[in-house]
Amino acid sequence: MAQQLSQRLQVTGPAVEVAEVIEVQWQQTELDGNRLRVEYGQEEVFEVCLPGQSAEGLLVVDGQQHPFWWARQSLPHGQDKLFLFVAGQVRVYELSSTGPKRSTASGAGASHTGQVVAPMPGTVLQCHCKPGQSVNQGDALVVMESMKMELTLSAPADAVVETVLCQAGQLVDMNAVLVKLSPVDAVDAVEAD
Amino acid sequence: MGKKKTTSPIQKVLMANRGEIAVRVIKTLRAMGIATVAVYSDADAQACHVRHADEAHALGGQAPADTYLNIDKLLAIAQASGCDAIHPGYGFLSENAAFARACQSAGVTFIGPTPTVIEQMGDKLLSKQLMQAAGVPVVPSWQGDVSDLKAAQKAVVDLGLPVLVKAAAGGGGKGMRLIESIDDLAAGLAAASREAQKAFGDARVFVEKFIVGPRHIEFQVFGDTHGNVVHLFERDCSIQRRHQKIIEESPSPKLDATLRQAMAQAAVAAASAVGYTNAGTVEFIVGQDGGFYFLEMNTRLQVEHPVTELVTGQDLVEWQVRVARGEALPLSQDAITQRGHALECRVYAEDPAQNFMPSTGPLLVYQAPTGPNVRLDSGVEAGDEVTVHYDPMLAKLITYGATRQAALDAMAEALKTYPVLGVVTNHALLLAILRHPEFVAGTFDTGFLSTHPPTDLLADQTASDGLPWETVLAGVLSRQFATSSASRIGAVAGPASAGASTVWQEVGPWRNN
Repeated sequence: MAQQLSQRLQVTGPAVEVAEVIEVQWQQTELDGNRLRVEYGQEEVFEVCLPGQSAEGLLVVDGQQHPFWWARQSLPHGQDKLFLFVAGQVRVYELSSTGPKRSTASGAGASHTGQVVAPMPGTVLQCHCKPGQSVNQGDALVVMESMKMELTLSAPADAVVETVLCQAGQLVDMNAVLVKLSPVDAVDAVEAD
Repeated sequence: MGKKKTTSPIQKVLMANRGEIAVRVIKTLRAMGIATVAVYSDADAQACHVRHADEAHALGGQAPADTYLNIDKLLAIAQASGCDAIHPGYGFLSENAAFARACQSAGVTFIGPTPTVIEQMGDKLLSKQLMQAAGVPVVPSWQGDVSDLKAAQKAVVDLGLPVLVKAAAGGGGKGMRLIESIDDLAAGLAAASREAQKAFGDARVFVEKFIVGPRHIEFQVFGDTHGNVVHLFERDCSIQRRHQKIIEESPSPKLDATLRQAMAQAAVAAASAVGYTNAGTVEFIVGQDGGFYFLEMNTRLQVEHPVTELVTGQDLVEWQVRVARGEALPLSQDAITQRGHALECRVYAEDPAQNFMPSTGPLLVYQAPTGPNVRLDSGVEAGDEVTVHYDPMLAKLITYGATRQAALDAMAEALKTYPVLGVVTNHALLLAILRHPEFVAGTFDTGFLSTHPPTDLLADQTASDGLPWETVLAGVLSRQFATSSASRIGAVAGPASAGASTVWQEVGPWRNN
């Protein structure tokens, strides 16, 4: 019994600069209780063996066996994550259940020019900016610490500080917005140089 | 093996540390028939090291100053639980002379060197002066008042760029900054000073000439209370990121017999000069011309001590305990040999492609690799949570081989069968380094990861065309999971994706419930 299936995935990391959404399509045939034959793309095929309750599986491509490990993390308010470990490489996927998720060029966790976000969970050590202040690209705005490492967050572009949403000593989550910025007029930026 | 009279019996030891080193020390203590007591911060109540000890006691609190750095609490627990000794591990209070002295006063044996020696060698400025006096070569440095920026700038110009800003009380890469441009000096001094204050409670920093193209090669030394000092050969720790070691090995591919002998003699001379007892490490920086300079001495067990254990066949924690009991060193210098090759990789929960950003989360899958020449010193187990509170190092993976290549091959295989899921790790970067021609040839220096940025190393191996089968597999797995998430091993319970379940139910046998 062959089945045609598809799944939207967002490849999120590690080592992924552009978080792209991929629509994966394949046809699968059950071989026995533990094994599936999967066909996809240009007549490409592999077999996957998933014994019972194990987090470990075996993938067979062109007669070559690749053991793998996998886990799914169900997040309370977000999309589920799927972790896959093959040959020393970890891959992380976000599963999109409905509709395509907006794909951004900056990728997950990166700040766009209008704000400075915490790239990791941790503690804010110092905040070097005030609302209304003009800052230049590369100026240190916030100093954070996570796991005993210090990290300086800089202005992504010349801008004016709109709001400061953190203070020294505050514990912040990953991707928390710390500083909101508004763009400066192009003329001003040139004159400031 | 000398059978000397025991002067200070050790029957129960408090492990004043956490993570992999606490687990590792506890294993040897238990094997020696010594009872073990773990301590823990609030965040560590469920931690791996707590489960491995015979007893565990809460320190109460979370900040390091309230927990693993709190001398009064540690000693109170040691005394209340009837411990006759304390093992400090590395980091935290391991190189704190006041702690060693407080143990002494409380009648509890500190498993380490004497407070005086910790003080002398722990002060990176004083130790260099002592070593210079003992005839050990040192790197040129400036130890003036860094708050006088003009003077600091002049000193940097005199030393010649690049320079390193280092914490006077430091180690382990904390409170350290490489300055390549004089314009970065003020910011670098400030950041290093803040980090030093945070990590060691001592904001003093100094400036040192940076040796270009250096190898970091250190010698394990051991002294006993009978005046014997030996070395247990070298460890090459030249693969570093942000001045923190990530791959270590013994022997060093850089050393020939002559240079090894000269450095070993200098290491023993350094230890002897201060009447060193217990385990210590003399760190050297070795220039491209083979010139070597004393960097610092670490008065504790080193993170990378397992590579020494594998090539010498000795248990360094057992040596520490025996020396602390007052026994003579188990072996004389000529009975200590260096056989085969050992390699250690530090496995971190961090993303090498994102500037080593730490990664937190639950360990959904965590399985130790196995094999005849594989050792994993891990601070976590499956189901544990990696939090923001501590260093992101999960474990140390150590392999052994008759030759360097054999150890390297064993390491690559071990990494491929060491799944860690739920956080991002540096597995892929470690594998990329292991197969890099410079690493294979052994010609790298401490700038390896600057010369070959992680993004480049990782890009080399991810390049492929077409839709990778991994992605299709992920799709297949996501559908497989749809009806069985809560019951599956390696899953965190949560709502299954409802939309997919109708499709999957037709496939019957795949349902787990």
